[in-house]
Amino acid sequence: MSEPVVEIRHLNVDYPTRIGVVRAVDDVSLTIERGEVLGLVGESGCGKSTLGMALLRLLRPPGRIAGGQVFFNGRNLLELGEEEKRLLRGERISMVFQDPMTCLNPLQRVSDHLVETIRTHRPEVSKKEARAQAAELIDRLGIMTERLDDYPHQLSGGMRQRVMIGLALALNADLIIADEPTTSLDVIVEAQFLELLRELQQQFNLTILLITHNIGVVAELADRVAVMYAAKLVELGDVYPLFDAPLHPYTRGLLRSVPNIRLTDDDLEIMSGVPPDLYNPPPGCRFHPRCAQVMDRCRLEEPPFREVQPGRSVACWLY
Amino acid sequence: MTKYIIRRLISLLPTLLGVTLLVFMFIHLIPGDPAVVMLGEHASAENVKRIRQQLGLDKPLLLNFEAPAQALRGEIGIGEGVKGLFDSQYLGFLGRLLRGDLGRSVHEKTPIADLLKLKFPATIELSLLSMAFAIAVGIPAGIVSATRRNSIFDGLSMVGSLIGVSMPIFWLGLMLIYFFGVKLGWFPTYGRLPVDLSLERVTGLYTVDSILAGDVRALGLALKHLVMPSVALGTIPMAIIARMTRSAMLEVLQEDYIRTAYAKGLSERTVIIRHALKNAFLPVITIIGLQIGGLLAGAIMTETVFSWPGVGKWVYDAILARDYPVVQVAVLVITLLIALVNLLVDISYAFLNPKIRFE
Amino acid sequence: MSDNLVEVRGLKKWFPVQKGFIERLVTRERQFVHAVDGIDFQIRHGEVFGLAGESGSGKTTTGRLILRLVEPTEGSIVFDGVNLASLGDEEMRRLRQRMQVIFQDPFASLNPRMKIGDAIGHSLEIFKVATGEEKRQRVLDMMERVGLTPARFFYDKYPHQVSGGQRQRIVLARALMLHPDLVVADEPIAMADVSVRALLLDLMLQLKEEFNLTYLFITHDLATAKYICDRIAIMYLGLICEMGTLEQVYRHPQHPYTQALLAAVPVPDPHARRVKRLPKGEIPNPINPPPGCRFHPRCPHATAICSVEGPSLTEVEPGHLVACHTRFPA
Repeated sequence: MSEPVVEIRHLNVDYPTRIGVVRAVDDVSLTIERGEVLGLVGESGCGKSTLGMALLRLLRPPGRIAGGQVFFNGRNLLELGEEEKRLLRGERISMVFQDPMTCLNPLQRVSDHLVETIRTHRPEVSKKEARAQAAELIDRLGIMTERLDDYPHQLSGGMRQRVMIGLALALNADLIIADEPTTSLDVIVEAQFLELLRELQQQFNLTILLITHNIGVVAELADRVAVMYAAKLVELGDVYPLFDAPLHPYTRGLLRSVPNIRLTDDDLEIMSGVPPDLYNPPPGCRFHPRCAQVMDRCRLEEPPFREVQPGRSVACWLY
Repeated sequence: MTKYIIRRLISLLPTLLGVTLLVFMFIHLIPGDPAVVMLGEHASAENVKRIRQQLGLDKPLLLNFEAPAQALRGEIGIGEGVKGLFDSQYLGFLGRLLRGDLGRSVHEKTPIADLLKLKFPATIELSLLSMAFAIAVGIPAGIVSATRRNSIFDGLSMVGSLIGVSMPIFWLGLMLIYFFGVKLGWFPTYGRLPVDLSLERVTGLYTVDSILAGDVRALGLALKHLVMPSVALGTIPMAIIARMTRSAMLEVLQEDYIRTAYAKGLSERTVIIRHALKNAFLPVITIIGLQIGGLLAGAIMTETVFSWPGVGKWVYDAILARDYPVVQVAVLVITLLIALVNLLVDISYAFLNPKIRFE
Repeated sequence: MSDNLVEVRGLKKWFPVQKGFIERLVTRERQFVHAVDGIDFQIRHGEVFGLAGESGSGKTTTGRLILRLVEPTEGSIVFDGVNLASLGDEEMRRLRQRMQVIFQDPFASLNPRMKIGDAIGHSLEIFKVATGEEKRQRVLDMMERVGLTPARFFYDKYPHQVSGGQRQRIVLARALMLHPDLVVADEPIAMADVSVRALLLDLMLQLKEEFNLTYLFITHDLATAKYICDRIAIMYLGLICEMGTLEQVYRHPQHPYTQALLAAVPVPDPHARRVKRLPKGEIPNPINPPPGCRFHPRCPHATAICSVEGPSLTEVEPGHLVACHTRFPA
């Protein structure tokens, strides 16, 4: 197997606040292989988006990386200087954000957005050439080339999100971090976008970190799935075995509490309780207050995140 | 875009009409006979009559219904009757304005238009320079404050701008005169140029005229005279612009597209200049436009303190002297100027903002 | 008494497009957003009626029209035999007690400076139903019933001190204080966390039984609607394109748009992955909706007539109505 694109080791991210420090990502270790779609799921506040921003080194202050290592193509990202970090962004690592309505500068045309990205990293490309590349790009994304000089407000939500993907494709990034890319899109547009993403992924062998709370989107697109709960990684595995037989009680609860339009069985499984307050996480396993299979040990000792089957890891005392 | 400008120009017309009506009515809002008010209690009946005639105060206010009535009674022809209908004080005033006849100053006995030509450039020069000062200091201060939020610079500049906003112009003007004029003697304390210096009048803007004349000494002197009045007049707008720029920048820097810009791999400089500043500029431009209105009001104070021979001082003197035709014209000119500036602001706003441009 | 709690007939809401003063003088033509463009439906006593569609379909406006938060351009709404248009302000105010609303964002609909207990009991004071100790007791009872327990603990808290799911319970409790007949729920769980959604849905169903409620459930999420609705209407660009029982619409959708919408919903099961046949493009601008059938420019089955004549909603089997010329049973 080739070297992974990203290897995260024991990453911690802290948010100091007035009433204390919140550890938003707590001791997460994870690899992303070349050409795979890794789905990172969890509920709001579980730390999944923070993890994504940490990879780009774009944490909003006062957020900071408090420990661990992140290797990108073999280089430790956390040891890079400002300039090296900047060059990595946009060129090797690209990002697609949740709300395409607010993610594009309203004063820049579609062409400006793309040309700017290309020329920032390839200053030798002439403006004209960059523009031609941009036209080719949006054509491939299913946007008519006449719209190249449109402003963001003239585009629909779906088209804007395609432009965001265009920014990622412009320089053949090694890793695309897509943070809730379809959450603000309507159902049909969402499906169209996922379809496009799947096509592009296969065509260009893209590596995508797909961060979402939408279990359906992960099921549609991901090759592997990582589940986060209260800043911790709780389960990791290939998409089929993970959906067929989730190991962690949280994963199981999460999957069963999602309405499925195809199922005839009308009963949703209901998970009791709410995710813990990260200022004051429960001792032991963080899921234990909500867990139906809780044991004494769970209340006291934190379960390690370890491989229990080949390619399958879980943090739970049951295994 | 052209359509937008035309539309905005058309929408200016009702405003202007309203302003002329207000300015016209203003003379009638003063209690008592305007002619007597102007000339004072002890004026001779002859003088009062002359002024009344000169101002057309003997005619009806808005429309002369007497003429058509006469025409209906057959006393005069229909054509004359219709024509006579419009023989009123307001329409006469409007007609004279359109012909460029602004009337005569009661005191100086000269046509107001000639006086205006003399005073107007002085005010324009002062206003332009104070605005340039306000923008040149306010915007960079706001940007630096926003990007170095909560730094010492930010604190100092925000306290400074708070003081700037709350400082009365006349006091600031007097302090400047006291320290930099009287104590240190760096700058002249009144007027636009030394009285003994003559300069060929082309535009009336002395800085421009001195450049046209190739007179470096005059240019230096003109600028020296401008420094203190410009600072006095420009301080409030500068403080407001600085605060506005800071808060607009802070808001824009939180936007998702700024994150996108960083994610593209742009340097901080590029992000701030190309992405943040351009967007933050939209609200700042509106504020600048609004400040220009305030600037012209402030000019009255500043020009009085620095004996600056502009429209502001002229109005001040005219009010004291009860020279109402002058006040009328000056108010009209100032309003017109404000309306035009706001139009320019709107157009530049539309030019910068594609959402409006493409509507 | 009729079976229907709400009857909507020929309901239209056109919002004028805002223009400047001068422009109105220059151009005679006025433009309108055809938010709701002539819809008929009934909500029966005790059912959960779903109104589903994408953004811009008019579903939210329909909900507001029924609550009379906006005035209809045309058409009538009959609530429990009373035509709302015939009511004066005071009568409407009294009738409002019988219809309550829950919005998508519970945080935005709660006054941040009002204690939770006071917010829930506010309507009791407005309508002079109960005050003081009696009010407090009633509020505490209601809080227990929606699961805000211990009620005494939550009573004096402020909205920002509780979780999102709990806020949605507060909104529910507040809506139920006056024992309404109809609850209009506009995307009530869209903001809630995944693991909390099922819980809230379940609570809503439980309260419906307990309080004998009728729901108008407005949503863009067909998967969620499936778990709670008895009947459902699918809206597209201000019109209903298909309506029927859940079974009829989900199992045998006949309108190509319904079919596309159902196919597009992501399924939380990787085995269900497949290439979908999706309509082209996105929902068009409701200012100038396409002529004929509004879906025809995107419809894979469109024929010549579709671009000319708008199909009317016709009954294809008892209780199942479809507005389509071609009708391809899935």
